[in-house]
Amino acid sequence: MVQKKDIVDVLVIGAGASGAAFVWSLAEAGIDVMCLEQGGWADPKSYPPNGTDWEIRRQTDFNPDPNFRGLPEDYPVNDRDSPIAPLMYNAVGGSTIHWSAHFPRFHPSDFRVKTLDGVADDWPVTYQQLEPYFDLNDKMMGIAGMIGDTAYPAKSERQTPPVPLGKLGDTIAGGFDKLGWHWWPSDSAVLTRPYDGRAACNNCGPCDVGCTLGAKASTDISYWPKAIANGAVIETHARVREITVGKDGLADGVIYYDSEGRLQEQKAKVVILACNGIGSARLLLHSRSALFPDGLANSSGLVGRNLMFHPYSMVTGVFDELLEGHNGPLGCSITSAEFYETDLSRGFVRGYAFQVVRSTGPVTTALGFAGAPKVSWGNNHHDELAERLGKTITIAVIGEDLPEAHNRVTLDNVLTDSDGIPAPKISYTMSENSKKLMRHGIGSATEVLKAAGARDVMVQPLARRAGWHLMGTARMGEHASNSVVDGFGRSHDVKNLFIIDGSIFVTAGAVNPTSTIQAMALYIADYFKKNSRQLLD
Amino acid sequence: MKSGNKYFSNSQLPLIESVLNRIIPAKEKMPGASEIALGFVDSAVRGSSTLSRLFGAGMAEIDVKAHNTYSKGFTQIADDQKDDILRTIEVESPDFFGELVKQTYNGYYTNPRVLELLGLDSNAPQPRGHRLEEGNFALTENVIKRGVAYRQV
Repeated sequence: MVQKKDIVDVLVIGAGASGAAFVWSLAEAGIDVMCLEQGGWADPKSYPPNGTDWEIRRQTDFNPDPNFRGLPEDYPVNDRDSPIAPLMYNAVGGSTIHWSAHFPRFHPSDFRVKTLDGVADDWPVTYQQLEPYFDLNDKMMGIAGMIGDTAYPAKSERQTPPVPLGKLGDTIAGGFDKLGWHWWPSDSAVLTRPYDGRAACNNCGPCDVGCTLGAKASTDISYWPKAIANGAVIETHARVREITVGKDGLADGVIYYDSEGRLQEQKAKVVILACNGIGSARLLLHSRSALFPDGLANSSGLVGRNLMFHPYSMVTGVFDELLEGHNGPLGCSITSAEFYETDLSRGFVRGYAFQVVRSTGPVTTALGFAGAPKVSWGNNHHDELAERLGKTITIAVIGEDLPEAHNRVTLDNVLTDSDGIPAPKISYTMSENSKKLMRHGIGSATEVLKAAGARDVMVQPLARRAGWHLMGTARMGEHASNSVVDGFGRSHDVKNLFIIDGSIFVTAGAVNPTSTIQAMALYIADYFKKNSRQLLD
Repeated sequence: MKSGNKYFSNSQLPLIESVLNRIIPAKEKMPGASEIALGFVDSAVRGSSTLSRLFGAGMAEIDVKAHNTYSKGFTQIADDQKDDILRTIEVESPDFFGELVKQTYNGYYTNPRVLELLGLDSNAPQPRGHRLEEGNFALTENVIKRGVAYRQV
């Protein structure tokens, strides 16, 4: 049982990618820090890869979409007004429980899009400033990879060698090589050798339904044990309803429901939001008071706005030979930054990345996966399945969607979670620039698959259930008029409130955001530690 | 209950078996779906009120359509006639038919015998894992030769 204190110095809401890194960093410096998480501790023994029904549980209790999963700790999301459905997981470790652990960093240009391309805004932080935090985070998570990638400034030594390419990786690398395009073995938060007391990956395949071995770095096994050993306190199944403010306009704690559903209050000197790009905005919008009638920290009106997802196109090539793609981490093989940087002759600004995805088991293949439609029923069924099973390579085209105020999170008028807290409602449309960029990406993904020997290519132009990346809804900036937080995640309006998750991203880049989310959390934690006397006086 | 089934009664078994064998027919070494997936589909339908509702209405509709079209029960008509009926149902009752196909595939492709016939490991992914060839990392040398691939700022 958690020892309750009347007031804690630092209260963090959310125990996922960013919350774990931040809490660890503060606890290591001896700061009094408590975390509230609405999910529980995941039990790796019960993860689907230990059973033969793993592909069915991918559709049910391990579905990445909370609307399908519907566990008591989840909240529903009204996504009817969005072509992309947000995905997330609620547990200690958050969405790192079900992520595929593809671990690219944002590129240097991502932090300077206004200066370079005249769009959106520059970040108040640069790649160079974040570099030591990328490195520290890599060490904490344990990254498999290979140094020398020409698409980045030189990186520090990776913790373990890269994930094997396998026949599938060799085949597609051959396609990139033929075209003279950039490619590189992915940085992956999957250990290929034992590291830091954790086991090495045995290439079982479905990282997305939880890693029973602990080779994949979810934060419940990377950061949390160390944070707790250093004195951090975490209370699970604790669902925060709202952040409370004192007469002075500062945050003074939270109201939450505990694991028994009892109302609790926790006072704190500083409150930190780490609930992801949808959850943090939801909580701020729900924390209304006379002092903050439009929601907390929202004098700019930007809380919930500028939601960015990364549109995904799935382009799947079918090959004649067996590529054994179901062996090895699903989302981690190789990546390409050939079309990452702006080239206006292509007809759009900014760019996209390729993430090569392996194939998967027979149920998922039969039901349709990554651009390949459902295998038809009837007389042709067996032949169609045999043509695809183990013979496909998927290129996920991940595009940079620029911030647009009308893409937003609001509170739904009707839908709530099991505690009656309003669910988020998502409104999102794709811009013309994004559409052009994705069309180009589909064309070049098709080209490289054909160069690698694909005899057929199938395309899903915009994947619906692909809202893995939630960014932008409480953006950073210098001024209170055009941003929610400053360059250290600190609210312009409420000086003892910080936001440290993907909400604060100014732009989305075109790569998976987790390593950058965590580097930002560690960077903010360092700022916090340097100024703790003033922040916690 | 003689059948030991949970949802489909003895008198309903011929119809569901006949339907499953059109979704995934037996072919060469591969068995038909009724032999493999009937138990799975039966449990899945009993275990979900949504599926019970969809299958209750959907299965009846299949038999009604067969009678209206061919004056015979679904189990009595030829395979191509069965497929015509099912194609109509697929268009008219997409929710039911989508679940029929999905649950059939779920049951069929989690069956150890089917997995072995496909040349796959019938064990769970863990604890044994899979073997994965290292691959040819030497090709990265060509990438390095082409030089810096990011915009320096």
